[in-house]
This record gives sequence, structure tokens and C-alpha cells, in this order.
Amino acid sequence: MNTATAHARFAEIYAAEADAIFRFCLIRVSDREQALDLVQETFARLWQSISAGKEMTNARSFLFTVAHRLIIDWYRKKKPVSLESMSDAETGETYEPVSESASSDLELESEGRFLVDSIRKLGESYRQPVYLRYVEGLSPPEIGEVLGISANAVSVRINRGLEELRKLSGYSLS
Amino acid sequence: MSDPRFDKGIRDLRKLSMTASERTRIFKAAVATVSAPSSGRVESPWNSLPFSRWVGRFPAIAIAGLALLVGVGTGLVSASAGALPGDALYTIKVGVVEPVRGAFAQAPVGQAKLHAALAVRRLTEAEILALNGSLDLRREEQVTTLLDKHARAAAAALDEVRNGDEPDAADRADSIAIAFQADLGAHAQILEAIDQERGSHQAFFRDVGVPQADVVGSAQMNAEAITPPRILAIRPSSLKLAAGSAPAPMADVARSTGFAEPAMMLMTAPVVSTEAAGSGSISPAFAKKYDSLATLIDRTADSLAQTDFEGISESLAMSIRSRAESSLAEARSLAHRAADQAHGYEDSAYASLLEAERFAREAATLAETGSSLRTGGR
Repeated sequence: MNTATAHARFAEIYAAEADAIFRFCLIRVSDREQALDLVQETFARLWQSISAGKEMTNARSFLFTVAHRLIIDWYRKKKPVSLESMSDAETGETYEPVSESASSDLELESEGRFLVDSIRKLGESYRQPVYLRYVEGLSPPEIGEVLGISANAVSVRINRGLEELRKLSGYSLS
Repeated sequence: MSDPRFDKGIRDLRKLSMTASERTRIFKAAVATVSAPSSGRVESPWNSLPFSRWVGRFPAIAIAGLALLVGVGTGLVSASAGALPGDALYTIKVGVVEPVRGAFAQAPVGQAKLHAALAVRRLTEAEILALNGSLDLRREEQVTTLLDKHARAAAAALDEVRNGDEPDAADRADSIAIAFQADLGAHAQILEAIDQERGSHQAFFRDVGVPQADVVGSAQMNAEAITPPRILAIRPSSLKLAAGSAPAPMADVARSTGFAEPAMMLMTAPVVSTEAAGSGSISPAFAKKYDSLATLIDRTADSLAQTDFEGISESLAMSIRSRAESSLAEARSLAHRAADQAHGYEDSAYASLLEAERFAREAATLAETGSSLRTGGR
């Protein structure tokens, strides 16, 4: 792939996916500048792959996978998980701290804010599958690729997550 | 499926976007972080031959085929057994020898155990390299990629085991998953301890904020991904039980029976004995599992006390010992919680028991691996 083709391909993917990746990062880190840094790093990895001539069969899952791992790295650096931190977490705090007021940092209308808060209250293993399925429209195999689990496990988590979401939010989801 | 409020919430979320100036800024910055591609790779003239293309696509198989042709195949295969990432024979080991052996394990249980064992082998190789100070970025990336591959294959096989027709399918899947989680957790901790002691490149990259191929992170994520559904069903309340903090009712029992430390009860006499199960309030299967867990915790505590970790430095030994002790404390605490839940909350009790087993096994693997480590050895 020559430079011009690589640029065109990258620009095409960027135009299509940049906002989705930004959203994914922003909702998880609740900090606009931090989210933008993560988006930049994610697309830098994509550019690295494309410019090295690698075939990109599913850029969408690639981007979400990279973003997901960068976010985990960011959390790990920010707040190491230790036994001491686990003792704080007896109240239900998990690897990604759930803050009641976190969604107030996001410029969202009331239903959007309510949905983010509800998703954040879900069990840790349900949050990403539910979000990626319903907000970003990824398929279970794609989500499996992003989270490093099987498509079957993803489907199970989506179903259980929805059930939990229904109980938490009062949505009439069937 | 649809609830108008849910749909509206999703539409609202999808409106979150970057501003035009942010879009341009991030685009330029992302492209600027890596140098632009050169004029493209120059195609080798040999690639016009179909055989060369095939060799190019399957280098490992091609190397093995060549080895067979010159009649040194057998020697090469046996010589590759001890190869480490970065060695010339490593490609043969992981690309040919192991897949061929894997082909004999057809049943999902066999596949799950095989891939779990291979994932652990990758971690052990990383430990040897890390102790020698030769776990560079390229090797770590190689190990991490293979570890991910095996862990995913093991997870897929575990799903198959779980969905199998056998009446004890879920129990079998859980027991393999727990053992694998414990191994991944223990080896991740050993690597972390070595990493901390040596101040490796990972620590450097973490300091400057550049995430790299991260074998420790990969082991931890893969361990989390295979958490049995029964444990997931009761989280988060069971997961983050603090080490040493027994649930209140158990503490009451401890006081009334004269034991100062609830954990002491577990070590001296299991709270739930098989005789108690005879009363009908606790299932015999639970009591049996609980008893064997108490024995495992007991034995691990003994062997940890007797292990001297003589092959490694004092500080690394101390780090591994304290990690093992923490895991053991976590196991005791969870076992205690299981005993507390045994009357009336059998699902939660069983899940706590499984998690306790994971931590006890993690401690046992930490002690065992720690005592077999040799600085500078292979």
C-alpha cells in the first residue's frame, strides 16, 4: 500500500468510526481530554498497522479492541488493583469505579444520562457487552473479539445484562 | 425489545461526538505519532513462484517440512522442547510440535486442559526470560500473542464443556476454569514481582505512559474472562470481600465458641463437617467440597511455611511469599463466607467456595513456582 492509499484508507475509517470510539472512551473515563488522548492513541495504532501494509478486515473491532485495552491500561495506572483497594470495594465498587455523579460530566439529555447511569450500575461483566451491542451495534462475535471472550459468552452476558438493566431502570425490555 | 425511553437514551448517547476542531486535531496527532510509510514494500522476485508464496504464508510448516526433508526432523523436534521465545527452534515448538500434539486432544475437556497448559507454559517461559533480563519487547509480544491465543481457545472449549449433555457438565467446566484462573493469576503475580524487582522495560513504559504488549495484563484479563457464570451471578458482593474480614454472623459464632480469630476455626476444625451435612441442612456435596478446600488451605499454608525460595533473591522471595499469603488469606475469608451462606443461600455459598478454591490454588502455585525459580537458570 503506498502512502496516498494508506492515507485515504485511514481517513475513511477515521471519518466513520472516530465518534464511536470517542463515545466509548468518554463514557468510560468521564473526562473529555483523557478520552481524546485515548482516541488519538487508538487511531495511532490503526495508522501504524495500515501504514505497515497490514490488511484490515474489520477495522471496527480492531479499534474497539485497542481502545478497550488502552482504557484498562489507563485504569491500571490510575488506580492499581490491590488487596487494599479490594477492601474499599466491599461496598460494590469495582475495577471501573462507578460514580453516581459521573454522567453529569457528559453533555447528555436526560434519557441518555439515565441510560449511562443505569449501564454503569450493571455488573462489571455486563456493562461492555450491553453497551457495545445496543449503543454501538457490534455483533456478539465482534464484541467477543474486543473483550477476549467467546461469542457464546457474550450472548449470555448480554441477556443477563439486559435482565439486570430491566430491573435497575424499569425499562420494559423483553 | 423496545422501550421508547431506552431507544431515546441510545439516540441521546449517539449524539456524543467530538467537535470539528477536536476531530482535526486528533486526526493530525494520530498520523504524526508514527512515521509515514515508505514507498511500500518491494516484492521479492521469488514470490512469483507459487511454492515461495506458500512458504511465505506458512513459514513454520515450511521450516518443519524442510527439516523432515534433510532427515533431522526428529532431532529438531526434541531439541525444540526447551526452546524459549527468541530462540531459532521456538517457532517449531509452538508452530508445529504443540499443534500436532494438540490434534490428539479432540474432546472439549481435553482441548480446554491442553490450551490451559500451553498458556501456562507461555507464562513460565516469560518468567525464565524475565529472570534472565532477556524478556525484551519483541519476545514479550510473541508470548502475549500466544498466551491470548491459547487462553481464548481454552475459553471456547470451556464453553463447549459447559454446554455439554453430561449431568455434571457445569461442575467439570467450573473446576477446569478455576484451576486455570488460579494458574494465570499466580504466574501473573510472579511476573509482576520479577518486573518490580528488576525494573524492566514494562515499568519504564508504564512510567512514560506508553502501553506495550503486556503479558501480565493479558494473563489477568484472560483469567477474568473465564470466570464461571455462577460466580458472575453473585458479583459484585462476593468478589471484593476483604482479606481477613469475616461476615458478622460468623464473627459472632467465633466469639461464642471461644475462637479469637474466625480464620482459626477454619484451620483447626472445618466449620461445616461431613457429619453436619447429615442433619439435612447442608448438602453432602457442599460439605465434601468444603472439607477438601479446608485441607487444601491447610496444606498450602504448611508448604508455604516450609518453602525457602532458595533459587532467587531475598527481596523477590519476600514478594512472592507475601503475595501467596495474601491469596491464602483471601481464600480463608471466602471459605468463611461460604460457610456462613451455606444455610439457605446455597448458590452464593457454592460460588464463594469456588472463588476460595481459586485463591487457595493461586497461593499453592505461587509457592510451588516460586521455589522452582532459578535466577540465571533456564
